[in-house]
Amino acid sequence: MTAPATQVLRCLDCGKCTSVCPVARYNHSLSPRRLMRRLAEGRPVSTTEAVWDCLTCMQCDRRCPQEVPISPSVPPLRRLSRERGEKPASTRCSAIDQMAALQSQADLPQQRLDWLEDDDLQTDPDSKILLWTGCTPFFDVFFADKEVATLEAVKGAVRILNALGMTPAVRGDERCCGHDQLWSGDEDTFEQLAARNVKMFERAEPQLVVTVCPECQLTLINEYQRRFGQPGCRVVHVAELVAEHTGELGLAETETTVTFEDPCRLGRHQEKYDEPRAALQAVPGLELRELPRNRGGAVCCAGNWLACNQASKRIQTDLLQAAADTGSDTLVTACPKCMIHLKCAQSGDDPSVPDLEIRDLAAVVAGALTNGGA
Amino acid sequence: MSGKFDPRIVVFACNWCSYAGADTAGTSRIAHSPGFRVIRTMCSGRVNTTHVLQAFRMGADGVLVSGCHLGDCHYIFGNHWAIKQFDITKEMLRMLGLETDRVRLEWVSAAEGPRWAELIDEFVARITELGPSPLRGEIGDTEFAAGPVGAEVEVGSS
Repeated sequence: MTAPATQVLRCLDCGKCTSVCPVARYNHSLSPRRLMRRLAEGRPVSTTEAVWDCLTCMQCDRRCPQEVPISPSVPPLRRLSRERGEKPASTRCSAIDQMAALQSQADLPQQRLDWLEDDDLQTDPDSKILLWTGCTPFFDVFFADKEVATLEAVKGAVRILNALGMTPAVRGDERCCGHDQLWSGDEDTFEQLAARNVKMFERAEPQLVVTVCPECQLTLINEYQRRFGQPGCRVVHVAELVAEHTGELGLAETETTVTFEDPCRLGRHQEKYDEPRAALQAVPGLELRELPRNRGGAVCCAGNWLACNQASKRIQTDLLQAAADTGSDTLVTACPKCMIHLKCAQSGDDPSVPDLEIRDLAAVVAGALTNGGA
Repeated sequence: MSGKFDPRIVVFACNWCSYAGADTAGTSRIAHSPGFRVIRTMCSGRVNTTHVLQAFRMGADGVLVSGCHLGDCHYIFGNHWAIKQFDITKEMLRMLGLETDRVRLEWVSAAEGPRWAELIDEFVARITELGPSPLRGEIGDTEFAAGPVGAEVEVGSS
């Protein structure tokens, strides 16, 4: 994620980045082009708002003809801003950041596996297949007022693994992966979280890590494995796993029309576009209708807990409207964060926000399982 | 200081009832434990999950949130909002692995000086029983004491 400073000098000032930026469309204080020019010319980046407003969704990086690392330049800028004493506005007073910070501070006996009890989910603490639950248990408590159910994705993943004859381990000593800390320029907290998670991987010695969250997957692959060599095994998103084993899953006919939103961390950051589609289409009877802007051009959910504002809401409303216009019953996503942000957009009393159902891919696939499905 | 556990307790008291209640306890010269630090908020409904988590992050052993009795809120429904937020906070702390007895939500009116004193003594006793918070880390007593007064408290950033 470190961007050699010289790469910025390649910028031609063409402005493609700003023209595709979902934020710049509604919030003129952010312009990736201006940001890159300032960096290239060595001028100070003074508009802090712009630094916090970026979604790091890589829409701009993908279009840049000069391959300037635009999104990767943002975390170092945020770090500089923090060093200057500037702070992001942060959603809900940054309670989620505080939660991650507390996890980084001590090895507390976490009670994060309660969701296992009320279900017939088969897990085994000694299994070498590790299901990484991420922050989902905390999200469901903290965002209960938004009717967020990110644990449905985790439960779905357990059911899918069970149907494939795998019994995963879920661990109480897992911590936040530190993705948000890393991307928001809070390197210290990230490193503390990573150090504790790396010790956990050393204890668990998994042979396969399955995630439901592309942010966790990206962080485990790009940061943990590169910096610390852990986990020393494959890290796979549950959508990939389903795509690889479509023939082995007994899936019942499910009459439904869905549309899929590519999460930026799964799509543009990791270029996994076919896997989630293959996973959804493995369900017989399921009709997948593409959004007008999909795959590499997909619009980000505008999830940014550093600076959630009117622009975020408009991006989300546009996305939900585009989803509703496809005529689908359900908007499927493969990222718990996308679910939270889009549900949040729906939670107001604004009648112009389409009220279509939002579900996680793992929950949709698990719901179609012939045995053990919900 | 060494050997004896001196609990660090942060109390969020609302401006209209509880803070005045604490005042009543003081002016009435009711002896009670001095081992707590009061942060005055306009309403108990102002105290959200972040404030409580931040207190623990800064080395607190216990956090008490106190407001007007239900029905007496200066802002009509602020304390109902406080209940909602407190329930979330408590559940988050439980999941994080902290004893839920380390946090408490109570109602104290401006006239209830004796009740305030009793409540504080009770809470201090419970926290003393539980011992130091595992999140204290290397945060020293002086550092903690200096926190809210000397340093800039940064709620709203990590």
